[in-house]
Amino acid sequence: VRNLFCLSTLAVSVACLAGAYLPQPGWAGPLVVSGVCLLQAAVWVRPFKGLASVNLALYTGLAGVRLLEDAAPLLLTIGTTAALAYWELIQFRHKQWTGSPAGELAGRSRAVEADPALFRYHLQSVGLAAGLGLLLVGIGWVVRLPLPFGVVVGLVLVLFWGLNRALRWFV
Amino acid sequence: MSTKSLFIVLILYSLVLSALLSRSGNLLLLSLPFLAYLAVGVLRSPGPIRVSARRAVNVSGPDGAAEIHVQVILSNQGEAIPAVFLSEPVPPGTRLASGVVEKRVGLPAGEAVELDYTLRSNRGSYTWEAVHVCASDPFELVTREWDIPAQAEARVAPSRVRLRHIPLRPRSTHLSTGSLPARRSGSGTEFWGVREYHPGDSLRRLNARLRARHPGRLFTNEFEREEIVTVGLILDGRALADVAGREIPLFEHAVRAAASLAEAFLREGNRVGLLVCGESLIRLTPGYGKAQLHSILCALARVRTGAGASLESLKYLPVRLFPSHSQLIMISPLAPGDLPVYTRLRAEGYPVLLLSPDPVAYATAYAVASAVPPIGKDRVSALAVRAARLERRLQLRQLARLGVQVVDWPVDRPLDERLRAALMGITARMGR
Repeated sequence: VRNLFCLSTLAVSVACLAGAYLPQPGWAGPLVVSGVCLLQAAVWVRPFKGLASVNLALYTGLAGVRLLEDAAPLLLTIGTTAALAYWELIQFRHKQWTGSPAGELAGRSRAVEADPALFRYHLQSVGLAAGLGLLLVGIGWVVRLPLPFGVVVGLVLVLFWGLNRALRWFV
Repeated sequence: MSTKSLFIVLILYSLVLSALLSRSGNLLLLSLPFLAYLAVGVLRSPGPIRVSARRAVNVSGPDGAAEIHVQVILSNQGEAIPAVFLSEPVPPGTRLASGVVEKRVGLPAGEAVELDYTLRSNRGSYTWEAVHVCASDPFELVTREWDIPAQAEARVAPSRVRLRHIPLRPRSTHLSTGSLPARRSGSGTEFWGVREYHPGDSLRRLNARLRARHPGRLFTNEFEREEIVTVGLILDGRALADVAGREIPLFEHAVRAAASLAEAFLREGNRVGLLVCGESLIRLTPGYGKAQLHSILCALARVRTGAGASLESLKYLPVRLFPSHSQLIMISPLAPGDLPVYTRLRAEGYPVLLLSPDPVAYATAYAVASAVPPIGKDRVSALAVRAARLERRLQLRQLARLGVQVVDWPVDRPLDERLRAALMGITARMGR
């Protein structure tokens, strides 16, 4: 079941990126899609530390580049959400293998017991985050407010300040 | 902030700044899934945490190769914790036989999680101070780590061999019936001498041959009294006296010998004390019985060789630890320069028995086993071994001249056999 969810998110993310890049003429589209596909597969087979994160950053960057050209925004947003879910699921799976949250316990004789209830809760949280993200995107897509640039900058600064305060409070 | 949350925040900031610079609303929308992910993680992070830990340790199996069963129970008395990572250190010198030492679970309010594992261990003393717990949200964006006190200790005593009666002939004994000859007549089993019959002597002890030779006179057989003795076991735990390399280091053989000797002497009712000059100086005043054996085994469980250890402390042996004329048994492989220590002990009137595990034979056997270099074919190594043997033999001879009873013990031979062979020989020579 775990693998099924991981593979689904992987397939959705790759398909969305392919949908955004393959209609592009020339060799760049297939190259980008096959490169990302290979990297995602590498993360699946051997979850090297940091490779999954590099992959997510790359995916987001590629999606951002294509979005700047106003190409398939909905597809790319869905794909990025799926890539984020894949990144989270693959990291969770990797931790179930190796145990420690940050690898600080490496080197000791270890055995980790996975908890099905925790996996369900985790999956539920991933679903909730993805759903909430897509809902926000949908609302943003539908409700287009023509705001002046200064207001947008102000809102972004408020967002940054709020995020900073929230992270300091919780983290 | 965890690396994960930092990474997501960085992506979020990059997207928002890129959206601002490019004035792209689509790019701003792309940041929303990351914001939602962060929000879910932060909102699902654990609240105030109130957990307690309990640890139970149980040692089973034979001494020297025991199994330590450890059970850790973590109870949650506060709110539910979405994800708990529970980890236990595996003490050095032990290996995991079964069970798990790390667990990642969700911990609902009022419930408990149990960690159950078994370690296999040789001799040693193992302590646990705390349980390492890491509580977090399901994404591990907000993590809190701490150690919950849950102390426990497990000791695995050294393995022992059952020794037969050790034929010592101590100079001084206690006036309590025991098993060692007291060098005076009394009730015993060994023949001591003959004297004139006194009224009240048992007729069973009349010497028939002398009565026949001397008509009209009666003679009584006397037997050597058997009493208990105070034995001081001194274990040499200097790192320089140890030879490692095999599966069982030489020091381990010495520890096992000390445990076996303590058990043998205590079984026969003697008082036994212990002094270990190792990583730390361990002293146990002489005592009797099973309680003393337990104390000695516990002390031997935790002894380790020490680089800074020295036999210098033997110069000032407290009388309370080893009373004057008590039988000292040194268990030491013997190092160059040890002679003055033995000289001083003998000068103070202690009868000393040296049980010396042979480091040269041990090291040679190891070299032969590993075949690097092949002893006998390599001329230099063969000469080195010969020189070491000669030096050791010379040292042992010097000690014997001092009046130290020497038992040279190649550790691949049974201790019981070596002790009896050496002590019987010494007794026979003393008799002559």
